[in-house]
Amino acid sequence: MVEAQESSQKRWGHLRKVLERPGPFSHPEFEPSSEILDFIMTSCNILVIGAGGLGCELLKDLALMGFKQIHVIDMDTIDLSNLNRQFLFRHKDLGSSKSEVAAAFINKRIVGCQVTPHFCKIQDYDESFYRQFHIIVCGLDSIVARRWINGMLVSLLTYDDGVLDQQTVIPMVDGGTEGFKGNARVILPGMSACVECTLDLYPPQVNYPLCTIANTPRLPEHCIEYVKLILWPKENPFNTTLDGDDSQHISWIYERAVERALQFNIPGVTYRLVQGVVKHIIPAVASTNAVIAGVCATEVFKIATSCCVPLNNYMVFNDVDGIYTYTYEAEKKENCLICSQVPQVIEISDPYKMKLKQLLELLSESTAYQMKSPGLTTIIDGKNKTLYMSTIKSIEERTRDNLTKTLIDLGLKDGQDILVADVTSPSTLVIKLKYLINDVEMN
Amino acid sequence: MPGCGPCGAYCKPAKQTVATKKKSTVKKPAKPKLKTTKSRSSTGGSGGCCYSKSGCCGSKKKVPAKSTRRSYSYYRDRRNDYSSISESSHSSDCSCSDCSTDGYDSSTDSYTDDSYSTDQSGYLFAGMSSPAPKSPEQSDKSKKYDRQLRLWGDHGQKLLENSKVCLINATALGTEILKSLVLPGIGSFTIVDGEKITEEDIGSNFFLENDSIGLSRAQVATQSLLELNPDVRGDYIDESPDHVMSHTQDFFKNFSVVIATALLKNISSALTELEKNKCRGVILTSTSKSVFSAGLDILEMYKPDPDRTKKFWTTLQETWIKLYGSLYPTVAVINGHAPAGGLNETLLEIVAPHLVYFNDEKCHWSEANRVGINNRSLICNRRGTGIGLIDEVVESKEEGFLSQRPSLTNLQKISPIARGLTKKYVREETIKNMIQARESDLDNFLQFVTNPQVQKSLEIYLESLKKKYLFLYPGTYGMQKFHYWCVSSIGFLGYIRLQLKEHTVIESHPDSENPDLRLDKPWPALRDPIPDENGLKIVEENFEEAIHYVNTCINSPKIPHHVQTILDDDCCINLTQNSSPFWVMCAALQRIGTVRRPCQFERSSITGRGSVPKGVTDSKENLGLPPDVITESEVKLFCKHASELHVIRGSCIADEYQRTSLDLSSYLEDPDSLMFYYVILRGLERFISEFNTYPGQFDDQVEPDVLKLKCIIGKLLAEWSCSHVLRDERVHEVCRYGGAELHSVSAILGGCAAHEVIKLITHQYKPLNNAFFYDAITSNSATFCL
Repeated sequence: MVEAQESSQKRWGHLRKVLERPGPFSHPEFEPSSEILDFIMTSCNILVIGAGGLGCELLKDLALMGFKQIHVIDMDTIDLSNLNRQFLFRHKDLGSSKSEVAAAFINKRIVGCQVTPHFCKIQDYDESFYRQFHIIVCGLDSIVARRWINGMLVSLLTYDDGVLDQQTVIPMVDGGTEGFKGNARVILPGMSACVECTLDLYPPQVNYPLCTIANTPRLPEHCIEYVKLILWPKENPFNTTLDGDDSQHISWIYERAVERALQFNIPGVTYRLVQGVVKHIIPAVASTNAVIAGVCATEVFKIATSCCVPLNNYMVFNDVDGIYTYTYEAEKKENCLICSQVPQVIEISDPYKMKLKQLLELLSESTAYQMKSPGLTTIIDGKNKTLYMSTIKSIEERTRDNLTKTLIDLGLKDGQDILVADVTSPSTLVIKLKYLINDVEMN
Repeated sequence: MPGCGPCGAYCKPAKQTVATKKKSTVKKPAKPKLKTTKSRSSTGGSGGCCYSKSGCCGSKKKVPAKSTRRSYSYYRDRRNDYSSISESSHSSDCSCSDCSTDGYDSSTDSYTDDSYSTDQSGYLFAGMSSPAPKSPEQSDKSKKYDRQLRLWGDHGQKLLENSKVCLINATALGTEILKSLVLPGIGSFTIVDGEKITEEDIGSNFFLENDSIGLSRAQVATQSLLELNPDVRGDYIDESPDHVMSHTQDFFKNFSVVIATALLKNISSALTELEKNKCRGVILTSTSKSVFSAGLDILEMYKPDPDRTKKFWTTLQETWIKLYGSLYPTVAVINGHAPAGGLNETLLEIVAPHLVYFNDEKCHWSEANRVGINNRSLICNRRGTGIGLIDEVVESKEEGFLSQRPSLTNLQKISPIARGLTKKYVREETIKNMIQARESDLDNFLQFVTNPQVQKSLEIYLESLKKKYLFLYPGTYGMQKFHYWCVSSIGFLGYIRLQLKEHTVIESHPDSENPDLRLDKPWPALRDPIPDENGLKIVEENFEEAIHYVNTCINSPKIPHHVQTILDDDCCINLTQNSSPFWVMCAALQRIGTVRRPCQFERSSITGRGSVPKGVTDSKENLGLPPDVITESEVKLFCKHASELHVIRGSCIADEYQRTSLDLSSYLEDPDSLMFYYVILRGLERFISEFNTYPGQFDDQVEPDVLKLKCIIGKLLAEWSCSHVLRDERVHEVCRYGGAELHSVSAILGGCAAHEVIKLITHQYKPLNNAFFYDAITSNSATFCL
């Protein structure tokens, strides 16, 4: 026992130096002590979301930074194209759960580390699951999932007379990479900028003008989009929706895209490009993931131990030309949809003309909301009324007619609360309509 | 990839696909069109034959009916199908029916080039490797590497797969770097490491398993790393680096990159090897546990055998001369900081090695000697040598490793080299003096080293070394012509320093291709509103694109300044037989660049109808180079990226140490500048060489070490005539680290360093130039050109 302790002391000697000595740049509340290492080893619960390129690195980094109580959640299975960077997986693991294989690997390699895998979607768990963690670190490739977990953590906050109870704050460290670029950020829900506060940072998806695609293609992408958006729906070659993982589908698109390219004398349509466009493939390399995950793990360590002040609060990385980083403080949005206490108001200039369809478009397309398939309900005369919901087929059919009705026709009043449900948030949002014309006559 | 196995596996599903495809393609009216294209086939590169086998057997089978099979390997992104690379994995005896290429492929393929020629730009770029029958379906390897091939392309991957990396000492940072090189698929690696795995290793190094304590670190790390990627070959040598290098003459022969911690002798032999072989570079790395030394081996001075000592000292001399004047590039990675201040020997009251001292102070040996023998005060020699892997040295006492070194009689061989080099590098004077002074220096050394008092202090010192001080030493600052990496992570501080002679990049932005906006006639297409399906004229969306690219159109048509600088370079103007393909092509470009329409230059399509190729051919002939020195695909690549050529010439780390005044004031006055870390690192180096330990390494020494380090830094700043005072808290913080290596910080630096190595190997993207600091406290970084 004593021997084991001694060897553990030796083994973690590096960490002990920064944890058991005072430093001028440590957090004001930092008190050097050997208990800190005990804490991160025995009671600090960390959740890693995503066991992909960043997730594998994160698990390794956290385990070697002394964390032992780690959970990892990922709904994906291992694909051949993961193996160039997701170093916890082998060829024999293809098709297996990422989280399970990654957890087993770490537990085997780093004795004493207890990684618990969860092979499911983050949406499968409720707040009681997420509440158990001290810090949550994300290595996700999906903005929707980021927004969802962000919404979840904000929903865990409690306020006392409008004052945030800091005990309910679960810090979130979020990393993302694309090729040689990456970013890492620290979010203290309710205290610093959250994912929704900075939603406009996410670049809008590239959409080529339809007229260009249809009439004047210039780029190979135009040719591919033409086949994907116009030819496929028209010919419906396999009597199914397009599946980017089905090589027959990709081949079909490839062939027709090449044809179209020939017609317009456009070079550059390759099979790889077709795959990339259809599946929205984001390039990825081991080195960038290593860097960003390293930054995130360092932040988790700093937050858990206070041995240094955490990143404040957003870091951008790029090593195309030399190595470049930029750090800044993303600002909390005063009327953030998710993390502010401010009621959301949508101003409607003319409710007599504004149709429900346009309201939905606003929620989907404005940079402030960027919703995916919002479902709208409201309360009229004390009764719940579903205005529109696309996610459930029977309801969609029943409410479809509402789309073309104006807000007035639907009986919505100035100041009406609209309850909005969307995949981007775990909880229902309340949006208040504000009519800009004064006298709305309701009959 | 085992022979035909994968191949067979592919063929079956593939045939099914073909069947379905045939059905679906029957309707397609594509055939006539295809014929047209066929008939247009013209120059078509070197034809599709060489890769046709692989292309076809891997995957291509998925290609549906022949009518739609177009090997459209046009090189929009110079990313052609990966099958061209993986061809070797498909054995020639593949029996799938599609393997018999039917000529159709190559003919359609040549369409590729033809399509270029019909383009206004003329001779665009048609593919790195010869246009091969293109298979829409990809090989296993292509799928595995898909996400990175989209970045550096098949030809970048090919370079990577041909690279051979040697890692000496499998420490945490070392394996982190290697991990990010093995995953993307370097060709092979070799780990040389004689260390046994310790408890501390397990705590920081992911690639060592818990139950491996006491086993060979090289072996365990190699096994773990090999599991990452079966396409990478790897082996290890469980011997101390200096043992290996002194016993294996040709050790470096097969490596393109060496990542090493080495003793003086190793460096010397490495250099010898490098000069013999076309090794791309040496990466010297140091680890926190193994002491890196490029200099004096104390054991050689302890209880000396006169003959041995003589040889030893001679070796030292020669190595320094060699390092000082070597022609070959080296990449060095130092794990931990790179102490270059002070010298252990000074603690021993031993004379600093004169050569080293000499390099540092630019004085003559004789002068150094004067400082010399019985001077008991500490000679603060900032250059020189460190203490080597003492344990290993004990093991390798064999006479052999010294006898392999050139002896004094080889002096004549060395001096011409030195002289030749010094012509260019203003070292003539220095090296000549060094050589002249060798003899007397040797005598002095012998006399000195046999002094009983010196022997006594050596004995004491050797005892103290058993504590295994963390001591890192770059030892290569003398190698001013070498690619040289310094990577370190101490606590929350990271440092990367690149020293290189010259690195040329054609694809500094491989994916920044100018979109084809028909730049020669952009306006009608973009200006005219385009009618949509209903005949409405909608322009807004295209306007956005037009605005985005308008610069490309209206830029004043001239050769970009940075490219002009390259074309005006001496290397470009004065070609020699030793000129690299890059410079030969630059020379060709320079000739035609001045006559052709510059706006075409902007478009990177300067080849016209083979003008650069012709220029290259002319140059090659003029230089008497064989015609195949520069391949057609190289020329095409060059032409495509001619507007973004990039040349880096680094500064010598040694120069940093020779400067008597560093103008850091402007940086240090800026509170946001990370330049203070440079001062701290230099202070750390000096601290370690004076006290042989990291400041703050021992818990009870933190406060005293803060004072000592402050004092050292104060002196350093004074030496540089810098009036600025470093904030105490900075010094305090670095003493708090006590040389600790935090895994996550090493992971960050390992990732950065690995990518910089990939840049060097692939000749894509711009490497950093030349000193990079990373502050993990704030996650800020800065790059300085030192």
